[in-house]
Amino acid sequence: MKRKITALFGFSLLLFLLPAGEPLRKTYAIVGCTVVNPRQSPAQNMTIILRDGIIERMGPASKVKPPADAEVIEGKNLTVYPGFIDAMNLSLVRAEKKKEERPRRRRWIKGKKADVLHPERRLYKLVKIKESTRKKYLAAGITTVHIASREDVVPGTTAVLNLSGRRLQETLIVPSLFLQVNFNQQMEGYPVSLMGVAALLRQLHLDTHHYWQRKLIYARNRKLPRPAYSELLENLRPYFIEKSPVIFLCRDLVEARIARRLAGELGLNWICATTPELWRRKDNYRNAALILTLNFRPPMRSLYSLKGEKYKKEAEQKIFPSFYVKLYKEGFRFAFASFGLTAPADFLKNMKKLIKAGLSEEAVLEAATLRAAEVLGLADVLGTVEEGKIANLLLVEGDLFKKGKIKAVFVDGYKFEVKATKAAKPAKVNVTGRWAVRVSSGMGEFSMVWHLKQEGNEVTGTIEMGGSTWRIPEGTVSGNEITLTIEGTSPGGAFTITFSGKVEGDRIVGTLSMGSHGEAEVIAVREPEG
Amino acid sequence: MRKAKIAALFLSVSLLLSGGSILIKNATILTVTKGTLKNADLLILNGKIAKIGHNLKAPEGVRVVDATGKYVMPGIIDAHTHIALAGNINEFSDNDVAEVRCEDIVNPDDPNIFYALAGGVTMVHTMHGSANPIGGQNIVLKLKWGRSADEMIYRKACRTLKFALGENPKDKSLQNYPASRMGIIAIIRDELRKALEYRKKWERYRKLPAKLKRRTYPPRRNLRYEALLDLLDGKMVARCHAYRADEMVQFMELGRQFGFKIMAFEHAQEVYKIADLLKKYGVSVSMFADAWAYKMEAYNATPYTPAMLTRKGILVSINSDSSERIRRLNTEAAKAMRYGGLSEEEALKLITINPAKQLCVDRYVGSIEVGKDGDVAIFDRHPLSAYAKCVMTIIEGEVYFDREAYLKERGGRK
Repeated sequence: MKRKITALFGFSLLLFLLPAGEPLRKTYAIVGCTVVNPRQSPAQNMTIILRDGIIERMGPASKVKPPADAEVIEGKNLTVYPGFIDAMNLSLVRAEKKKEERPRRRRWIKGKKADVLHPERRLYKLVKIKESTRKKYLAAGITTVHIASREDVVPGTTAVLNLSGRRLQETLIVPSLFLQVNFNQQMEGYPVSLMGVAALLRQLHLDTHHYWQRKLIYARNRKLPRPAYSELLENLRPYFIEKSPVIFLCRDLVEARIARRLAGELGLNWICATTPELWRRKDNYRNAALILTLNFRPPMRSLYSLKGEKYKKEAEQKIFPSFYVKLYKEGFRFAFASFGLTAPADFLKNMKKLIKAGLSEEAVLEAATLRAAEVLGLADVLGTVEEGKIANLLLVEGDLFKKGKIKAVFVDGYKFEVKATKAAKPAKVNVTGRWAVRVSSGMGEFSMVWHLKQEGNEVTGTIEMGGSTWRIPEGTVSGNEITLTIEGTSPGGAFTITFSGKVEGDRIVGTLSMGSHGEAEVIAVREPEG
Repeated sequence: MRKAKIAALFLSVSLLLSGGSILIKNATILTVTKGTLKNADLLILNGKIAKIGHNLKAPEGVRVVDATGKYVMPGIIDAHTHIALAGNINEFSDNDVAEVRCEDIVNPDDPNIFYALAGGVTMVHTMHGSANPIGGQNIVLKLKWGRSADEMIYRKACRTLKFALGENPKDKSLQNYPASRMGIIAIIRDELRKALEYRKKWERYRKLPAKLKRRTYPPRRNLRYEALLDLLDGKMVARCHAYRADEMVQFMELGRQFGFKIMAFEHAQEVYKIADLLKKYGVSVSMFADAWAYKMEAYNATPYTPAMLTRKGILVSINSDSSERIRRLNTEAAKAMRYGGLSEEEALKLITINPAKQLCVDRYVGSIEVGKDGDVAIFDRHPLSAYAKCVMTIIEGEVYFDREAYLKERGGRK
């Protein structure tokens, strides 16, 4: 009796410890489905068996029978696609807090080096994924992300992980994949200019070679003075000497050119993550491994941005989507990435837009799956629905790129149901008008003026601050919640920040997310008209 | 073997054919170095000026531009500007940043390139800013709007390194070295000395016998000092931002001591006080026509300086240093006629052959002569008139700005 009670207690404790609704990794058999793989024609009436997170078997339903222990999923109306791979994601890494606080008054301390070189850092350690965010990625069909950072010049080494929501260690496919390089000019400390970043990387390459040359000489002649240890140069060896791949985040053509020239000059094995505008200089990038953002907004330095608002809109809607089509026709193969997008849902949305613009469904699927796996060097485990590969699948009713709906997503063999996404709630408030805004952050308090214009759920506008004008290219009001995307320029270059808050009559309270500069509290008060 | 030879021949022919061809008919041609020709024709073939004369016939397929009543001048050269660069033009985080290169950040999409073309400018020397005593390496571009950065970069020009004296590199907050003009010169001298030491270190290492070399650590390569050594070895020339006479004299003396070539002083408002010294040291000047008093060190200036220096036989050019003034360098040059009475030809030289000499490209551009690059600007009146408008800008025989076509595309005059 006593024993029975203990057992019961233990069991209930176990139930309690298991998070509610957590999917168990069962063995699944998807019977009689259509399988759509990149670079292959669709295979009908197939059965797929998933076990321990791997696609154990796949074949015609007549040959492959579900094992006794498998949960059978009727696949008659289902099309199965490989899960999408986001080949460069900048949203899931949180910036590491810098040790020193920024001085209140800006002072240029000459000869000071900015703290921007961290090849030792593993970016996966900075990954923070909220459950709600993860679900948004799954709803867009993204099962795997290549994690990178928008901070620093060398923010660390990138990682690939599955969005199964399990312990981080379990989700990682590769904890340290590429060395990442960004072209961020700093506010203070070398380098404060884009040309400084290029010069810094050149010198760093020489320094790495010098450091290892000295170590080699010391190994042969132990009576020499011992060379000092450098964590920085130790960690750069794989990339600058052994030619392990380096990924350059190039936000525009100027940065892509610097990356290309440096890679050539320093003999790097490089990957170029950049804008589709690359089409305009395509001949220079024939041999580069390409990752293209699915963000169609022209970069700030692009000709299409500088010609004025009208041209910028046109470029976003027509010209930039056409670049992918032209690149594909010319034989360029690229992977898709989410950097620059505001919401994960745009990943799938923009893929559909590309199909409308003339890119074939096969090409779009390839860029989101197999090509991404190839660029990341993981085509042996990811990118297709194939025996032996990781069980990352999308179960779709109908054609995914037309009106089809993702019903369920498998990540590492875990099944997640995808609920139909809620449409934005009708706007309960109207934020049109001029708003006086107080912003308080770690850097102190400052004020700005917002000019907002709302039509239905959509909000656009401008921001005036200290004589400069920033843009609000997009924003939404859902119920009484408001989110805004803000584009601006500072001495450090162009930036994008986001705002989210709640509207109560003539007051908006919320937070401004400013990337590495943290968050700021915002209180906005509508000014009376006239 | 023979196949390879034929292939090589084709290659050379295709290289020769690079660049455009155009025939400009019936214009007043301001050659700048060879006088003025009335009702003359100018034939540019494959990017080079092929013929200047009367009643020239266009070879088949070559575009003919009727320039009756119009003026053709060599493409304007701006020897000091900051257009077409991406990001910060000042790497102001250190006092010596000789290793940074403007070449890295050329932005061929900068609309200022187009505005400059609309003012008849075909070549610019686009520079690092003046925030540090020793700035970065500048770059010369041909404004081939629409082409890539690498196609714009003009490698025949000499490599130049920016220096800056006076108020700009001085730290006004007194928090940093240098806080005085003495400090600036001291820093430059010190950095040049360090560069020489760096060379000695390497020479010592290189001279070691092979056996010993294997047991000796090599010195660290330093791109900053290597750039300075390029300057000291004459592979680069100095372009120095300066205003006051005393600092220019100091810098020329430094140039003599260390044996580097100072190609030009930039702005150099007080240069009229030391014209003789300038001549002695063989330094030229790139300045504004009549901008002054915009800061303390720019007060002792006069618009007569360009004319006065010309009379003294000193090479002088007029620059824009701005994306606005670059559109009207022709009228800037005309000011030297109003102040100091230069002739038309002398005034035109200030924005054509003189800056070309300062960039070491006078063999290729800067005047209308057979064999030079086909870089010309067509104006509707004499370019030194305040009413003149550039109607067409041609680089290597290709039209990069055509006012009529542009207005049509834009939908008329607005």
